[in-house]
Amino acid sequence: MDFRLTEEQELLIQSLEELLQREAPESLMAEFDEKKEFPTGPWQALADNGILSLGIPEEYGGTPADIMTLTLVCETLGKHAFTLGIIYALGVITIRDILQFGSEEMKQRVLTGLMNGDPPVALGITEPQAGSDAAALKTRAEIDGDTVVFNGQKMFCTLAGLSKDILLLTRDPEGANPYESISMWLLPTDTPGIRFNKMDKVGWWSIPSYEVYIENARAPKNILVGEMNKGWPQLMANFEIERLALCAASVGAAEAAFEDAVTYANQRSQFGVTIGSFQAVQHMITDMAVKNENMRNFIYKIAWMMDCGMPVRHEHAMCKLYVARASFEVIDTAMQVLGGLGYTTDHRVQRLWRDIRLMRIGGGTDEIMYNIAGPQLLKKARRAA
Amino acid sequence: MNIVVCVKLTPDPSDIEVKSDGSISLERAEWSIGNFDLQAVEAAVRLAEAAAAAGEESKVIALSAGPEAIDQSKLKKDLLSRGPDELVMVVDDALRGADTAATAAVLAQAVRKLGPVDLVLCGEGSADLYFQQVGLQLGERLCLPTLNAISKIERDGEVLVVERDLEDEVEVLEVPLPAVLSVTTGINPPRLPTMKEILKAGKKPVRRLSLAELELSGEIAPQVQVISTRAPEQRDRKQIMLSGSPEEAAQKLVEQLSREGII
Amino acid sequence: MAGIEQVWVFSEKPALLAELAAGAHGLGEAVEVTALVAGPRGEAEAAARNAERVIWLGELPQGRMVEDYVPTLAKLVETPPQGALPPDLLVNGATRRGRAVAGRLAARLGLNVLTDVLAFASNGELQIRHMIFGGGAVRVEKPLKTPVLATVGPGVLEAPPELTARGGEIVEAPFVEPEWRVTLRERKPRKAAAVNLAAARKVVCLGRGVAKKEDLAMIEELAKLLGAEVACTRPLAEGLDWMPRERYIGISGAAVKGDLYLGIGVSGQVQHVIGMNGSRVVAAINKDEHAPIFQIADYGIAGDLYAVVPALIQALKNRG
Repeated sequence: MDFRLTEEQELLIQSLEELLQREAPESLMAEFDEKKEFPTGPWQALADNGILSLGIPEEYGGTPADIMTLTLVCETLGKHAFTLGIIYALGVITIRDILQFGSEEMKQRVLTGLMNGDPPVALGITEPQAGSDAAALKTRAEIDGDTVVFNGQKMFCTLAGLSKDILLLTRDPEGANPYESISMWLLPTDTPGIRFNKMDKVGWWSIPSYEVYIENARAPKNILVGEMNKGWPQLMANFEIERLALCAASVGAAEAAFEDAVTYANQRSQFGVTIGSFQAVQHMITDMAVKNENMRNFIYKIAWMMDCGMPVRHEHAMCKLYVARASFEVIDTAMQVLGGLGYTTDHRVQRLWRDIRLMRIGGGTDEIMYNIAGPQLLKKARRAA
Repeated sequence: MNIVVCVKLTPDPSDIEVKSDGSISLERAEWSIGNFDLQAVEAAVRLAEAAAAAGEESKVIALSAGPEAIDQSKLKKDLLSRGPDELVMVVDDALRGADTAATAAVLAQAVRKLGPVDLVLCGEGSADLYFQQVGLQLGERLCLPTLNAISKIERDGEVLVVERDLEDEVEVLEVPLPAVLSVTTGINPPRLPTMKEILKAGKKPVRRLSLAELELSGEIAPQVQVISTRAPEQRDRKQIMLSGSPEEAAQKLVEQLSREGII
Repeated sequence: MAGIEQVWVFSEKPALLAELAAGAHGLGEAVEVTALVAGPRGEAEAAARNAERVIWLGELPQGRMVEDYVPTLAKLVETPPQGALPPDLLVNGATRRGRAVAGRLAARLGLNVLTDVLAFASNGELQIRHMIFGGGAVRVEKPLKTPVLATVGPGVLEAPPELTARGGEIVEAPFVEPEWRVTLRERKPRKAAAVNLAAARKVVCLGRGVAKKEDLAMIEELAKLLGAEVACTRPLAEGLDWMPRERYIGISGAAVKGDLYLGIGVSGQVQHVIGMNGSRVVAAINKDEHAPIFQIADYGIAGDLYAVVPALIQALKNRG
């Protein structure tokens, strides 16, 4: 079993690291966070250097890349500029849904836009009464001749106010089975009748989330993505890779926090010695390293399985469950090692700490991951018996 | 337009280890492409791209000479992912620690073997030694117009119009082709390899030449003997930290500088 | 210094040529210096004060560059003019032109060049010392062939204190037409104000800790009050583009060895330290008390530069 990266993967990471050092240095990313501004410059630099073209088919001007490569990209982004890693990961599901189910016109427009530096397409599922119970969404789409009229409200719709389009999920209230009544649409955000209200969060300050109020917003009915009432299976098709991307970025962030902690432990002196000489700190550092190693191996394994075409139904959920928690623990421990300094805005660990906490909630809560994995694991055992 | 760009592959000088006796070791250093040479590669690739856009057949050949250690797969891919079409390497352990005269002789002979060449570009100096000589000596050995400190290159038909960055002034010069130019840092930031280029790199042609094939006679006999390579001597510094509020610390600093006769 | 008797010196900069010519006498008691001058007759006469002999290459005609004299110089080395002896050592001033002349001359004569020599020494034979590995190491080398070609910058060769005016004879040399020429289209003044960090006695250097270009004004005010030049570390000169390259201290930039180096927001990485460690007094301001620069500083202030620098400016102004 060869655990090494290929030379091409190493060179890509090297190139991306150099790009991030140049275009997304820590001081700049801290400034974006502080000002609560989207990192337009660094995001554009990713576009200009072909990073956003990865995984997009050649016929649209992209560079095909396997899932392992995308995982490495997310991890590298997460490590050097966590904000960019999150934004990149958020775009994975919407881009793939459009690639898989969208019309040619949609693909051309959205993919070209992304590769030119547009913020990713926002994902509009969650509503005030529909979070983990996503199928309880109520936003309606009524066909009126050649147009479709939307009414409803979305919540925690990240980047919606900055994106050109929302990938909007609607439900037919007459449909008996909710999972067969959901449809997916690519709705331009400048459609009259749409109003955005930014939500203030504890973290992800450069990555705004919105309440989206949709009142009689009209659009041509060809903005349907895929088929009517097939929205749910379409959405589920790319949730696994989405979660993997978010995990990879999280692992990167945890690695960054680890490095900060080790550097500090080697420099900071108290009681006449470096704090790294204390057993307590050594234990903390080791625990962090163990978790990082586990997380890395887990995400690489899932990426490998997906590249082999193997199902990852419960495995990916287990991965997200573990990574969301472990990355938070690692970053939290790093803050402990850094002490008071870690709590000040002078240091990046507080930003990583605030940003990582959402991973246990967004992209599928820990509890939902249990719900996916638990029954599957038991079912597997029953089949084997 | 056929352009040859000379690149030195060396152990990365930022990886130097200072041993307890003050001597220097690069044994554990990773080999890398000289950062000044990357600028020359970029300049070459841009000129070739411009010529190709104007309908001329163009090619960039990267040329390197050194000991066996330079023949590393990842290093070759790294270099080829930055735009050159081909890589030619003169590999022989006899070239370990070669001085500027020997290096220039080897590169000159290699260039002669590459067929018709319009332009040879070199970096300002190598990443490890930075003697800033090889490009100039190479050009003179090839009996071609050769200049250093080139900060800008533009094509004007059969000649190049270049800017040469000197201490007091900038010369704008017309250089007939073929020529050999050593470019300064700041001529152009090197492009970062994209995934596409990285994937293509492994498929580009790489040629190894031996010293025997170059038919050099005695020109690479060493002209310099290295007596020692040591870490620079550390001066004993006072390491006095001035404490207090910014105003107090600043006042203390002013007093110390005054005592030292600085102000 | 055993073995070094005939030293030829060349530089297109008259001041540097004078320093090299005078200084070359410090290489040994028996040293005879021949200065090579390309310029007006007056420069040849000035050079004669410091050299036993001057070979005057003539005035540079319109459209000619100093490098065009390389074939002439090569011929002179191989066949010295009447009464002159061939050089044991040929020293070129370490300017960009000087390096170009040295390199091309070396190639014509099949020789190597010892560049940016920091010191000449002798243990019975000639040895030189210079920096390599981006300033991370000092290398001592012994040339195995003569003549020895070297490039030397200012502040290296020191004339013996008892040296009197040499009053050398001036010999003219015929011009050897070069095989190729480049055409000078235009001379443009340098965009940046000419700054010579290597000669600066006091330097204020800003590093990554200085976050915004707008803060330069504050640093410049401080430098003015101290009578210092403003310099910067590599990331600022080459990445963020705030300052021209001549103001960069570090591996491929200037080395400063004046009286004062004051680093502001400079962390003190090796590549930069080498460029400034020759300064007599090193002071640093950095908010990280563990920044490596404090290890090589005489005086350090661990604090926010945005508070300390204004305080320093005020303290200096209060002194009057």
